Amino acid sequence: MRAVDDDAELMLRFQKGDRAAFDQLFARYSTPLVSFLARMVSDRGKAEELAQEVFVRIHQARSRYQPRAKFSTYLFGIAHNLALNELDRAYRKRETVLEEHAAAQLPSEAPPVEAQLDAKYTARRLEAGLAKLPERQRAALLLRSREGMSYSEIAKALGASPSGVKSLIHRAREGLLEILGRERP
Amino acid sequence: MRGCRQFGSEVAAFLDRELDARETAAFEAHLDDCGACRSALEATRDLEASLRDLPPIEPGPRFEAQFWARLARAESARDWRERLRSWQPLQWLGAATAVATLAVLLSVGHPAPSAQDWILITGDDFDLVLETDPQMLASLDLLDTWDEAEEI
Ligand SMILES: [Zn+2]
Repeated sequence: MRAVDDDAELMLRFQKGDRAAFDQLFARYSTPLVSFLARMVSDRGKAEELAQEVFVRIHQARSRYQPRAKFSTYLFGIAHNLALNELDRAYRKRETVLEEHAAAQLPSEAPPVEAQLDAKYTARRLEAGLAKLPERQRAALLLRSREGMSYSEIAKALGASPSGVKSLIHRAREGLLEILGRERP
Repeated sequence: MRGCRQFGSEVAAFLDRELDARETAAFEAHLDDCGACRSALEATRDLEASLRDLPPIEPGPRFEAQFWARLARAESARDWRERLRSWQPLQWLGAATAVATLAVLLSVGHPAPSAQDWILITGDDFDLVLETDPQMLASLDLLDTWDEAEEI
């Protein structure tokens, strides 16, 4: 079977028993997954658990894996589902902390000063703004802006139509700009 | 910021190069005449640059070790499930009854399952629960111990 991309190639090697190929995928995607999930669920510890769970699913599904789409689409699709389940569970238990409060504790280290000077918005304000977006808008925007995924890839990962993704991203950016404009210091 | 009614929703897709050639040409022509779209485009560009500059959120130092431990638990859950399937008396009893029986055995010396767990355990979604519910997965460590005791 021809691999769709580098990552899918690694997954096919892992399928044939090459454990080092899995290690490479793990190293490549740990940080992007934890970043995505932490911003989705506003809880860094929970994000790590969910990211581990994504890798467990990938590991266990290796014999059934077929490279029909890019590997990252498949990976973030699983991550998105787990994030939505977690958010549902948290809402049901009424355990959600105030979003601003949660967002304020991300990330743990202050970004380099240079990064703050280059960007128009500080990391802290952006994280807080992202946390206020509806979850599907937030997911679509993160996959676009942080992972560089195309609308059709995002559509596959989120189980949406490409035109639905176009609308999600448009509303996410408009909403985020409005939140940031409202809260200008 | 008041957006442009006609093209306001195209700004994001234009910036992401997700418009086709005809739509792109139409939007570019429109940009010359529309201040609202020009400022929306500029604001969106700034926002994107800021989003790209956000620092990644790195996993903690125990992340990888925790993953391998989680995987080991999931694998033992899977093994146990397969052994359970091939165990003759269970096949006679039918999976639902058997799982309920097993749950009774396992509850000895451990907190009794909640009412909700019982529904999950005895339902047809048994496999699904085992695959998706982390608490059920955690409880399976205990099942393995029981299984080994049977073999002795
Ligand atoms: Zn316009």
